[in-house]
Amino acid sequence: MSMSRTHMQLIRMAIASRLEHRENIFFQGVLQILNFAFLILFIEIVFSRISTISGWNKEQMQFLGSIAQIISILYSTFLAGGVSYLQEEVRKGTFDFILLKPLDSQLFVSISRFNLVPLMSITGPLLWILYLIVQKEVPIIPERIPFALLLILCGVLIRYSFGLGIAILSFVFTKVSALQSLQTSLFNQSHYPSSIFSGWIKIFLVYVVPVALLANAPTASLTGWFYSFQDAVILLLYTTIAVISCRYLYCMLVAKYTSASS
Amino acid sequence: MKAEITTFKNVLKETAIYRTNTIASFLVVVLPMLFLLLFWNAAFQGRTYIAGFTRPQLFAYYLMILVLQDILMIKINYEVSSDIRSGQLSAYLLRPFHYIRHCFSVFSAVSFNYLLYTLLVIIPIVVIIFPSVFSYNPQLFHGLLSVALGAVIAFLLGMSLSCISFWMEDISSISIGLGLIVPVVSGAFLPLSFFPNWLRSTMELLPFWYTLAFPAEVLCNRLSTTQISHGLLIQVIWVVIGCIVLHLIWSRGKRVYTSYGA
Repeated sequence: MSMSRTHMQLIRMAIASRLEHRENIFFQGVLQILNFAFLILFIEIVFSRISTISGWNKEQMQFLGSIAQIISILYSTFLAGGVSYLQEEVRKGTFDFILLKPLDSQLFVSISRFNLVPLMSITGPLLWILYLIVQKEVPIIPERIPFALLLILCGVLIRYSFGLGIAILSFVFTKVSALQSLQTSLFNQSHYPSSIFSGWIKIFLVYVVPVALLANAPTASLTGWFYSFQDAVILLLYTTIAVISCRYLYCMLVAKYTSASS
Repeated sequence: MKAEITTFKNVLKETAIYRTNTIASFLVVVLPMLFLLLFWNAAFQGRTYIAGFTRPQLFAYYLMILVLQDILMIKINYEVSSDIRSGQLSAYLLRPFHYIRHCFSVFSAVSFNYLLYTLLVIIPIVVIIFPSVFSYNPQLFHGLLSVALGAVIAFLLGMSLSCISFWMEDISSISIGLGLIVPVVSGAFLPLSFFPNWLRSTMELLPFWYTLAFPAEVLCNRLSTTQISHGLLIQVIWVVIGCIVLHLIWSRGKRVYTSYGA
């Protein structure tokens, strides 16, 4: 069996195992749509009292919130499961079995835990974006759609790099779950407009942990609001560095990995 | 009572061992709130009042929510659920103390510990960054009383929901659902005065508002004496209802509970 066929088989198995609990998938999907609905409700209520915040109006905030939600859903669907899987396998001491497989272990852990539940809820933010474009006449720049999609992919990869980067620390430290929750909590705040940050907080949220760019850059690119080519370039560069660093760290720490059974 | 006090002390010692984890867990709660404060800070630019709140009043409200939310939010107790599902409950039922009283000791110790860590972080933030946020509050005693009653309601209803494990194998979806809905209806995202009237009157009928937002508003000195007396009375009613519900669920649950090999 060729490598690509093996990978495809792995993905199929991951999806099949998730589909075993269909009722749970449905319920969790509903909950995630509810989560997005609460974000929209929050923006609706806040903007019923005020007209703009740092130059952003209600529709712009909702568009940004939808893009942030799409990034989060894509990460949860395709890569987050693998990140927690790696952490769990190292903790249990069964990571050896993954290393013995004739596949790249990072690729294996990353793609073998697909979770279709979040993907179902992507309809919420997608429909809302459509509603904003059609009903609220929010303008988008069609020729920038491919670039915006690339920036969304960058957002997903940055989340993956941080997630995996922390998960592989479990090779060295006993308890990294709280650190993982911390980075998730931080990236879940990417639905705020970058213009509300200033000073050292903005520097931190652009260059150190790019929460302020993650959803803002694709939104700005797609709609032209507060568009900054510099921000888009920073996001692209950051993604490249993050993915390479993550791979390097992974190879370095796997080489030092020992378990009770090895 | 001696057994409950010993449990309280033991849990305090146990949480002190994993200090880093406790701090990281606390930061997971703090981060979203800090972003929310930055958001509101931007919203108040050029405005004095939003929904009857000045900037210091709204910041005081959110800081109070931050201090109280982990204790006063109704949530599933995973330890209880796990004890029921794994059969570990049998060992507790044989011991010379009541399981629910034991759980209350654990809840009190964890809450006390959380409060201690939170205040250690919040007090310097308030003194350095927001010195004008808090002032002398003549309703302090009533505020502390409402916190205590809110904690008891949160414990009783959380325990009742956890006891659903007597009938259901997996209650994680209920827990996720609560995690989404409770912050909205308990006033952790927005104070009650922001909501439209019809939603506000519905929320006032539910116990959630009385567990978190009500104590926070009393401590922030935002309610009149009549409103406080009325709120405290409703809290007492919810405590009684919580006791009855928990008693019914616990006694019926024990009847269907089975375990083997313990």
